[in-house]
Amino acid sequence: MSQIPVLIIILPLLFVPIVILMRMFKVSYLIVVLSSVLNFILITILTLDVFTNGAVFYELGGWPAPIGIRLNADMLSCLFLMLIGFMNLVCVISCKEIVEKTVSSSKVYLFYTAWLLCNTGFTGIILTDDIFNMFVFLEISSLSSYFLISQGNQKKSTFAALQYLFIGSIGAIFVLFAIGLLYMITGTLNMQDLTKQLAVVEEKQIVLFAIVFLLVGVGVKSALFPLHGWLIKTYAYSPSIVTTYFSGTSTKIGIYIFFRVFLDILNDIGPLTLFSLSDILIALSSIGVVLITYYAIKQTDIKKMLAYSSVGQLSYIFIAMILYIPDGITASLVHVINHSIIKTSLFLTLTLLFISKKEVLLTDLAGLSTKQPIITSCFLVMSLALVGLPLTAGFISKWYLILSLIQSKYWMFTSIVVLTSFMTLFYVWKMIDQVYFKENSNGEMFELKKHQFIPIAFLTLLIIYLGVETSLTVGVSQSIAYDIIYGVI
Amino acid sequence: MSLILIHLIFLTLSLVMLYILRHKSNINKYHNFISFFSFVISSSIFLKRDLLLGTKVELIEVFDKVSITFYLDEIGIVFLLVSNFLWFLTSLYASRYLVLNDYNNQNIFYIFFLFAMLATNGIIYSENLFTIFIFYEILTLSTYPLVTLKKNEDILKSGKKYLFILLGTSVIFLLPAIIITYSLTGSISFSDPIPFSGVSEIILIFTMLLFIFGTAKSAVMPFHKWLPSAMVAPTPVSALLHAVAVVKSGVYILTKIFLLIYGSSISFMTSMQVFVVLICYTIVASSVIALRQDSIKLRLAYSTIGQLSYILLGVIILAPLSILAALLHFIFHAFGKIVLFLSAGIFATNFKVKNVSEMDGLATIAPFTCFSMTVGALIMIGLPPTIGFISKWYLLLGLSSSEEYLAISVIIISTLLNAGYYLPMIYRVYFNDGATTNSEIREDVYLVTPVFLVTLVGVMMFFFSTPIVSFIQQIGYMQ
Repeated sequence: MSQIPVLIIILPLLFVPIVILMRMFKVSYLIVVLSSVLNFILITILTLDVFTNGAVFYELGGWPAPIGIRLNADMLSCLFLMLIGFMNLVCVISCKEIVEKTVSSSKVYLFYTAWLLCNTGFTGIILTDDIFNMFVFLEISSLSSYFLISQGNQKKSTFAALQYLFIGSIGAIFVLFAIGLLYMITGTLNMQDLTKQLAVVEEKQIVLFAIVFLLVGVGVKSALFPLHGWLIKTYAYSPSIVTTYFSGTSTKIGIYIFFRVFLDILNDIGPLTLFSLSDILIALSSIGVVLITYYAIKQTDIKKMLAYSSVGQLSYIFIAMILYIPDGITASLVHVINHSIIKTSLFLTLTLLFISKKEVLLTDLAGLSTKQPIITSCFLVMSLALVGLPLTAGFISKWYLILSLIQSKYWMFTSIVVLTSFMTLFYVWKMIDQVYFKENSNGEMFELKKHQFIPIAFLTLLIIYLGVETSLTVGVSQSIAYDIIYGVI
Repeated sequence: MSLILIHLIFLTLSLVMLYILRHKSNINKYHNFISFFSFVISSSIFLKRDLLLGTKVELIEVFDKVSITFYLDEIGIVFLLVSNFLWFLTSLYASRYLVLNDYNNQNIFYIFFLFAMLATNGIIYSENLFTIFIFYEILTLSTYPLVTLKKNEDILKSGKKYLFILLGTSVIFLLPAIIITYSLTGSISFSDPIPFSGVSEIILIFTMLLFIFGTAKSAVMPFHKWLPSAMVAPTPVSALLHAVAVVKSGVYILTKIFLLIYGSSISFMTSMQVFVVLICYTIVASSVIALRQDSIKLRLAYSTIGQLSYILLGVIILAPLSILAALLHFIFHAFGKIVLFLSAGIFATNFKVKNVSEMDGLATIAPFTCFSMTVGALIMIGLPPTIGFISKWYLLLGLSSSEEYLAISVIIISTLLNAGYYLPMIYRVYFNDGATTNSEIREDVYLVTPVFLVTLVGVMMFFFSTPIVSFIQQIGYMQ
C-alpha cells in the first residue's frame, strides 16, 4: 500500500527497457497494455485511499522532505492522475490497428517506448512534490512527445514536431528560469517547503519575475491563447492516435502545473492579483476564445477544427480558474475532466473511422449516418456535448462556468462566453450536416470492429452519465476548490 | 409510484418500442394507440388531481439544489389535458395524411412525433427551471427532423433557421437567465421559490427580458422567425406542434416563471411597461404581416404569433382577471388554431389548395372542413358564439381593471386586423364561385372526422364554459 505512489512512476519505466529489447511489435503492444492496466489499477487504489484518508506523502529512500525527494498525492493530483490514467488506458486499448497502419513496422517498438515514457512523464509531473523534478518530468514527456508527433507519416508532421520542439524548449527554459529564481531566494525545491519559505522572503520583485516566467512557460505547454500555434499543427499532423491521446492529456498537464504552481505553491502570495494579472488573462482569453472559435468555424479539416475548438475550450478553463472563486475553480476542474472526455471521444471516433487517411476533411464524413447508424448516434452525442446541451457532460461545465462569471459580475465576459458557446454550434453543425444530410462521395471509411466499438460506446455513455450524475466531477472539484480558496489543508 | 412518473415512463418505453419497430409498416397504429393511452393517463391524472397536486418526484439531484424533479400544478393539468387530447386526434389525422401525401419516411415521423410529445409532457411536469430547460432543448431537437421530413434544399434551409434560432436563443438568453436566477436566489424551483430580496429593479427587468427572448418558442418578436420557417413541415406537425405543443410550451414556461418565480417577489412594476410595449408591438406587427400572406399556413403562423402574445399580455399584467383570460385563451387558442391548421391540411391534400386566393367556393365540395375552419376563424377573431369571445372578454376586463389603455386599444386594433384576414377566407369559401366546384374530389372522411370532433368540442366548450372558468379561478395564485 505505502509503495503505490512510487510504483505508479517506476513500473512503466521498468517496462521501457523490455519493450526496446524485445523489438517485436505484438509483444510490445501487450506490454504497453499490461503497463497501462497496472498503472490504472494502482492509480485507482491510490485515489480511493486519498479520498478516504487524505493526502499521501511518499519519501523516496526514507529521506525526509526538504532534503530528500518526496512524492505528494493529494486530491488535486489524484483527480488529474485518474484522468491521465483513464485516457491513456482508453487510447492504448484502441490503438493496436491504428499504430500498425500508421507507423512503419520497424519503428513500432520505439513508438510504444516513447508512449510509455510520455505517460510516465505526465504521471511524474502530477505526483512529484519537488519543483525541479517537475521540470525533469516535463522534459521527459516533451521529448518523447516530439518523437510521437514526428511519426505522422506526412512531411508536415516532421515540421510540426520540429516547431513544437522549438516552442516547447523555449517554454521549458522559461520554466527552468523561474525555478532557478525561486531556488535562489528560498534555497529549496520542495513545494511544501517553498510555500513556507516564500511567506517570509524579502525579495518580492524576484518572485514577480518568477511568476511571469512561469506564466509564459506553462502557458506554452497548455496552449494559452497567443501561445497556441504549436497545438494546431501538432493535432493536425501527428498520427491520429497521438492526437487522440494528447487531446485528453497533454494540455491538461499544463493546466495541472498552473493549478499546482499558482493556486498551491504561490497561493498565499496571490499571484493572480499581482499587477491585475487576472484581468489581463481574462481579457486575453476572452479575445482568444472569440478569434479561435471564428477560426474553428472556417476550417475544412476536422482535426484542425477540433484543435481550434480545444484551444477555445482551454480558454474557458483559464477564465474560470482565474476568477478565483469556489464555483470558478470548480468549473475549471470540471471542464478539464469533461472536455478531456468529450474531445478524446471525438478524436477517437474519427481516428477509428478513418484509420488509413492522413487528412480528414469535413466532406469525408458525408453519408456516415446511413452507413454506420450506431456510431453516428454516438458521434451526435459527443458533438452535442461539445456544444454543451443538457444531459451531456458539457452542460455541467458550462453551467458552472456561466455561474461563476455571473457571481464575479463580469457581465461582458459572461456575454462573450455565452456567445462563443453558441458559435460552437456553427462548427459542430458543419459536421452534423455532413453526417446526416450529405450523400457519400468517395467513401474511404473504415468499418468498425466490435472491440473497437466498445471504447466509443463506453465514452459516449460516460458523457451522458457525467451529465446527470455529477458527484464524481463536481463533488470532488468543489472540495478541491474550497481547499484552495479557504485553505483547509 | 406516482402517476406522473408512470406517464413519463410509459412514453419513454413507447419511444423505445417504436424505435425497435422502426422497420415495420404499421407503426402508425402503435402511435395512435400510444397517444390514446397517453390521453387516458392524463384524464386519470385530472380525476386524481387532489392526490397529485404539489407532490414532487425527484429523479436525480444533478448538483447542489439543482435536480431533475417532476410535479404537477393546475396550469400543468390544463396544458396536459389539452395537449394529450389534441395529440390523439392529430395522430388519427396524421396516419391518413401521411399516406395521402406519399411521405416515404413515415416511421421517422412517428418516432420523433412521439419524442416531441414526450418532451412536451416533460415540460408540463417539470418542477424547476433546470428540468424545463432540458426538455425545452429536447423538444427543439426532436421537432427538427419533423420539420425537415422532406429533405430538399429549401426545407433544409428553413430547418437550419428553425434549429439555430430556437437553440441559439435558449443558449444565449434562457440559460444565463436561469443561472442568474439561481445565483441571485439560490433556487430555481417552482414549488418553493425563494423571493428576490435586495435585487435592483434593473436586474429583475433585465433577467425577465432574457427569459422572454430566451423562450423563443413563445414567438415574441424579434425572435419569431422560426415559426414561419417551421411551416415547411407536414400539416400535423404544424398543427399540433407549432400551434399547440411547442409554442404553448414557450408560453407555459413564461407563465410559470412570471407567476411563480417572479410573482412572489414583484407586483406589476411601472418598468414592466417595457414588456407590455414589446408584446403589443408583436400583436400588431404579426397581424399586419398576416394580412399580407397569401399562403394559408403562413397566415395562420403569423396569427399564432399574435395570439400567443395575447396570452403573455394577460400574464404580464399580473391582474387576476387578466391571468384568468390568459389561461382561458391558452386552452381556447389551442382548439381554434389546431382546427384551422388541420382544415388547411385537408384543403392542401384533397384539393391542392395552399393559398387563400385559391379558396373560392370550397364550401360546396368540402362542407365539414369549411364549417370547422369557420369556427376556428371565429375563435381567433373572438366573436360569439365561440370560446374565443370568452377569453377576449375577460382579457379586456382584466386590462381595464388595471387601466392598461394602450393594451386595450391594441387588442381592439388586433381584433379588427384578425377579422381583416380571417373573414375573407370565410367569404371566399362560402360566397365565391370557384373553378374547383365541378370536380369529383370530395374531402377525405378519415381526415375530416378528427377535425370535426375537435370543432364540436370547441363549440361545446362555449356552452359549458362555467366549469372551466371556475376551475381556473380556484388556482392558488389567482388571488
